[in-house]
Amino acid sequence: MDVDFGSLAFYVRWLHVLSGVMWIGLLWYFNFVQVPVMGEIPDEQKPAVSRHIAPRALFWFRWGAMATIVFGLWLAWLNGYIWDVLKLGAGEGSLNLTLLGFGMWFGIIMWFNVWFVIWPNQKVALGLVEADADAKPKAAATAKMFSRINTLLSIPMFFGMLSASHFA
Amino acid sequence: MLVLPPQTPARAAGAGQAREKTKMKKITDSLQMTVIAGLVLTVIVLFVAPIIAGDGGGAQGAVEEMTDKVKGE
Repeated sequence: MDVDFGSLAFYVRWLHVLSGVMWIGLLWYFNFVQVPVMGEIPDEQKPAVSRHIAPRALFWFRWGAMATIVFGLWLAWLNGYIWDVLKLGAGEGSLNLTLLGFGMWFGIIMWFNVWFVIWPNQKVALGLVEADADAKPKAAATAKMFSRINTLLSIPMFFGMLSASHFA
Repeated sequence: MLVLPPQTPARAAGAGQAREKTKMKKITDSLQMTVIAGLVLTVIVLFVAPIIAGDGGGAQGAVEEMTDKVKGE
């Protein structure tokens, strides 16, 4: 029996979507649930979130971001359009390619924010690394602002990603 | 002379709740603004993308591209 298991690109796309759901799902959890509800939680119960839930969620959040970007770039390379997409399909005459390029660049910016802004500041804010008491609120504010920026970017990012195959 | 009412524990708790509500409102407003800004950026991208894509990159280009796909070209 001749069984067609599909292309490698399909499996990479599948892993890209799975890890993307993990990443953006947790991003929206932080922004739509955890951060707004923290003000309602009594002080004595807050460590349950900051010491147990948040570090675990942040682990899957940042590695979800890493897996999404790796599988996404691999997929674009396998499909043979990585350079065209990275240059936003400039002059290619394909709206789908340009929109995908926007989606990809928004995703790359978001990944950078996760690993080089949000995570380092969250480590300070949650007390996972040594820092002055004054540094904690500042780090928390910075992490929150960039997390909010990522939430903003996630909206056009998804639009661009879906445009690759479904826009027109 | 202004005489303030005594601050009872219940009143203090009420004031605390009011402060929390104000804070929550600010956060909610900010979230709403975030989502609205995301939608606005999406529309901007949609308008800018055809310019970057170049000739045939507009809606007509997308239709032609799909027509080519259907024809197998």
